[in-house]
Amino acid sequence: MNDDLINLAKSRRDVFKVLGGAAALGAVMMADAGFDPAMAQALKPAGKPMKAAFSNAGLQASWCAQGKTAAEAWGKLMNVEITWFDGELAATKQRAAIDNMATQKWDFVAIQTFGIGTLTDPIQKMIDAGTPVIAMDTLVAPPGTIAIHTFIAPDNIMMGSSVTSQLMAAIKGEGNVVMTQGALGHSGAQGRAKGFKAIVAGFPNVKVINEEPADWDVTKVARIWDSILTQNDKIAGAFFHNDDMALAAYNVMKAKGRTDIVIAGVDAMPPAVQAVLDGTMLATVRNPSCRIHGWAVAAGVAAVQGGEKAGKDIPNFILADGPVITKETAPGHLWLQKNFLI
Amino acid sequence: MSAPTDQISNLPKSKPLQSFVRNQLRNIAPVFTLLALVLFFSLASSSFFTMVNCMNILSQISITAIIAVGLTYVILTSEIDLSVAAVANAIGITVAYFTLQPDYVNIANLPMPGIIAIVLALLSALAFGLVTAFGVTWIGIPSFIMTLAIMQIANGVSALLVRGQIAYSYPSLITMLGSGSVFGVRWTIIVAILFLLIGHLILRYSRFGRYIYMTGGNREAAEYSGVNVKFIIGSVMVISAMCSGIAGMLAVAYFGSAQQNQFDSYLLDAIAAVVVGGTSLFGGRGGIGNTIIGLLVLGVLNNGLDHIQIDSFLKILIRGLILLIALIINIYAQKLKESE
Repeated sequence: MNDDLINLAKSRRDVFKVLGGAAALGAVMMADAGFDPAMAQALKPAGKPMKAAFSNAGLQASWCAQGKTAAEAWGKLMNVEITWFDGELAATKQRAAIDNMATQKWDFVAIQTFGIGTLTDPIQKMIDAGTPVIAMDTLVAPPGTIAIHTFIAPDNIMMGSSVTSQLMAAIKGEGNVVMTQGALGHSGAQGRAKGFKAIVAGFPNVKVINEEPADWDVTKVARIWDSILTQNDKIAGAFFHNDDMALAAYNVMKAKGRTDIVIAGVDAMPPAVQAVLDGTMLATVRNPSCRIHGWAVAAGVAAVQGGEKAGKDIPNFILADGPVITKETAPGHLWLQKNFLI
Repeated sequence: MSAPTDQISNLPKSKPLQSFVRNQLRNIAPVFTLLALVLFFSLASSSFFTMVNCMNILSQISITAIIAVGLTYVILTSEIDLSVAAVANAIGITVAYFTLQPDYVNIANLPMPGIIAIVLALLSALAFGLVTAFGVTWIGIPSFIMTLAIMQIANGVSALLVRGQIAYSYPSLITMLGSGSVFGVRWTIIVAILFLLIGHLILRYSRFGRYIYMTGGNREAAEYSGVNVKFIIGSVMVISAMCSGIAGMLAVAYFGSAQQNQFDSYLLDAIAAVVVGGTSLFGGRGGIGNTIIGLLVLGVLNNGLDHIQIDSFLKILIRGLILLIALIINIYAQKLKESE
């Protein structure tokens, strides 16, 4: 069935055109994307056009930009017109955008917050007005403080541990390793660090020589890695909380002739998957941007059209899982990303 | 036809008009920009020109407004303060640091009674201001460089206090002023109006205000006239830090959390508000009235773009272009004035 679909589709847009014309095919695609078949039967495009508002941390980040495109593609598929409110990677900007969102009428909204707790007031206002609010990727507020419809997120601990396992296997469980962290206040960074440490604890011959946070900032990564490489002659491997930082550090390693260091990252955005394919990176684990944003569209339609109630018909948390990408799995994974399915 | 006589009679009138436009271009242009934006967004979106949204815009610009009051003083003296956002962030975090946090917050802080936490935070803001004033006036470091260093120091203080974590609790007075309302009007709006009003009255009607204009207009002439220029510049640096500190305290309650690098965007927003409103970057011209118009222009622009169907990526570009046009008018008005 999927092969037929691939043959029919000349481009990624065509995939959605085909899907839009054939509901049965759509159900199969959704099932392939990880939907329970019974649920896929119940999940139908909106009967009448819906209006949804989406916001994520900032479209400057490729992960967020990909999420936007995915949400819009899923929106077309499910008859939902999506309006975007860019967080611009700034808590103040996103707060203003969500304040503006809250003054307008929406069938449902989905938000990935840039700063935990900064959007509580306008989100509460929308919930009070009866609008289902779906949280994506990051907690909007400390647990239990706000009654969102559902929270769709990856398991950051699992992402950190699964890719670290690959790293440990590649360095044969010994040597100096580095973990370059994201922003320490970010729940994703905290989870990834926890997963990394849990695995490394099982390897007594591995020594973590640096855990400095680079705050997702590639210029900071370059500075940190300049120092790390100057101070340490022997580094077996490195784990980065995202791929952008991994690729930035690789450039520093390359400039210093230290490309023997095995590196792994998180997100599995296309440049990193290519880096895995060409051997620059050992592995990366997918933080499934398309699933998170696409499923938010599905959850919103189910809430409005299907009348799903929070905590009753839909659980408070939905895990959007992503696999570890290695050379073997990379090509198939790129296809899935191209069609906003993971 | 009486055209020739009309032309003759019009000649003397057109000169004062030209002169008026030339003199007031800096003030007229932002007002026209504001009116044009309001008109455009009102026609383009039914949800824009509503009472709820007007309050929304005022609420959104209120924190920036408090910072912009201090910054207006600084820019009027022909100096700059790049530390406003970082100081606001540091002081917001400081007040949270001295407040008892929920169990799930993993910060080793020093809880104190609310009023003491506020006083300590205000003293910290004062300290930032005094250090800046000392560096700029006593040592002679250009304000651009000095406030850049203070920005780093304030960011360092923020990082040191929260260590990557997030604080959620503040003294009740700050929580009320930052996130509460009275008769449906947010306290932040009322505080901002008070700051703008007091700021305007001081600039307009006090000797200190006149000295600020004199210092910014012509520093040497001000010195020869007996104005203690160093004191004036030092004072505006302290005022700016205090405004930023108070804004920061209210902002953490407004946003509901205190974390590192949270208010970075306030720096450009506050500078843009002052300059777009028509206050000269070269000092000596402008004032709080201009800043209010600048705040409204940016507030309406940012808000309005979210009420119309437009490509998200285009919004940032449009904002940038309008800012550029405002700056060009600002510089052009300055040249027109000088050419008189």
